[in-house]
Amino acid sequence: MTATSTRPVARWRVIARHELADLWFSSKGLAVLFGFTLVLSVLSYLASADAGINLLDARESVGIVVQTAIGLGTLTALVVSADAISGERERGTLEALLLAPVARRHIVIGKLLAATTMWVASLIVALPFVAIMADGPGVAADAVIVLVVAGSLVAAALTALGLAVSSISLSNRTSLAASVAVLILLAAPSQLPAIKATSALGSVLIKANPVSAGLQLAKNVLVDQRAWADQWGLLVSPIVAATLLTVVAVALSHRLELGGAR
Amino acid sequence: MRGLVFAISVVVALLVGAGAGAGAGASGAGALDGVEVTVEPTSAQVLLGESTTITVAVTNHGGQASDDLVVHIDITDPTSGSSVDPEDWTATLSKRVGVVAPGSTATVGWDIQPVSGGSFVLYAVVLAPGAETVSASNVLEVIVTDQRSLNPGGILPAAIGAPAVVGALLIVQLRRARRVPESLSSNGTAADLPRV
Repeated sequence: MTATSTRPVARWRVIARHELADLWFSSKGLAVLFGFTLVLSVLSYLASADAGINLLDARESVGIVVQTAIGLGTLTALVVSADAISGERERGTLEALLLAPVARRHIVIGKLLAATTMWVASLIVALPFVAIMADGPGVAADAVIVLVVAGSLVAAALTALGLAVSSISLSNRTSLAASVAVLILLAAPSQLPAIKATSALGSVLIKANPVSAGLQLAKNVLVDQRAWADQWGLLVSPIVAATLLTVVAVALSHRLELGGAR
Repeated sequence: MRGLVFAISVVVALLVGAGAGAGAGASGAGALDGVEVTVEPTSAQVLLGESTTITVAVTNHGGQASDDLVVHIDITDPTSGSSVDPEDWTATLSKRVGVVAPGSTATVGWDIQPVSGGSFVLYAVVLAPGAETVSASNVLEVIVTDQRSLNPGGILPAAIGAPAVVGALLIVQLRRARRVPESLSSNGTAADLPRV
């Protein structure tokens, strides 16, 4: 008689591994990443060309690329997470997943982690662009820190939001449309010239919104060369949003049903 | 008699008043008489993205002090019908010169930075409040040479390399995905799959 000792494997790890394989060994993840890389390449080249002939301030060009990397990188993770549950429901594969001996919150955690790797991949692609462009004006360290810290917090918040929307959406199309619309709405305040970060109301609007706060942080540190000590306030809403939305996404896992999005 | 004297004095007063009015009109039209404006240099070659300085000189050749003068510059491309937006070249298009004393010259400088390549003409005009005409300068021919680098800021390797690497990975993955059903078919297992 042989005694076999089997270490209990956390179920979310199994789900995460399965989701990672599905994302990266199918063409889905790489196709999205390729689109992101292509857009970032063209933008970086044009911004560098303009900065090279002084049509655009070098720091401003770095700010544009960092903001775009955060925005588009977040979008890639959001698209994957918004498809995670509603996509399974639409393709008819959610049933098998729900019948598996895995707690529903583990399903959500596994899918969340897998979708987060989309941002990590986007970050890895964006880092060389940012490092090269930021080297000229001497803001490489700041640019990398902004991209990693602010970008990761914003991406974590939006990835959790996409998953939460996906778990309550009846159709994949609804989930994707709603998630992308929320991202656009959240990014708008920092991009609209009418909303000034210096005005009292504008400052509150931007700081309270995790996406615009992250984008504003990039502008303040990289373009306006403001001290980091004055910018920590802009990280509050991304941290709060990332935490809260992750909790909400996991909490909604109890309501996972086949066709019954509540 | 008294009436005749009054009538003559009224006519004389009217005539003098009319003359003074005509004189004032002539003064408005000729407020820039004797004022000359020149732009230096008369030609300039600039690399795209670099800036150059021009000087506009306003000389009062007249016998009396000028009005409060303003110099305004404009840029155009006489060889094409497309318009040039001079505000892209410089933030300030008009500068106040002030009153120029007889026989003296006032100068104002401009830093201009072309935003596109080509051959352009820059000129200045001087204006005075109430004047019915402007005084225009000579032209400055600005030849802007395009100097776009193929590898601005060393970004080219990343701009080509990153999409190439990700694209190559994607192609490999797509080929592998296509090969799986083919191998299934060659083994005869795909045909054995139950039909739904």
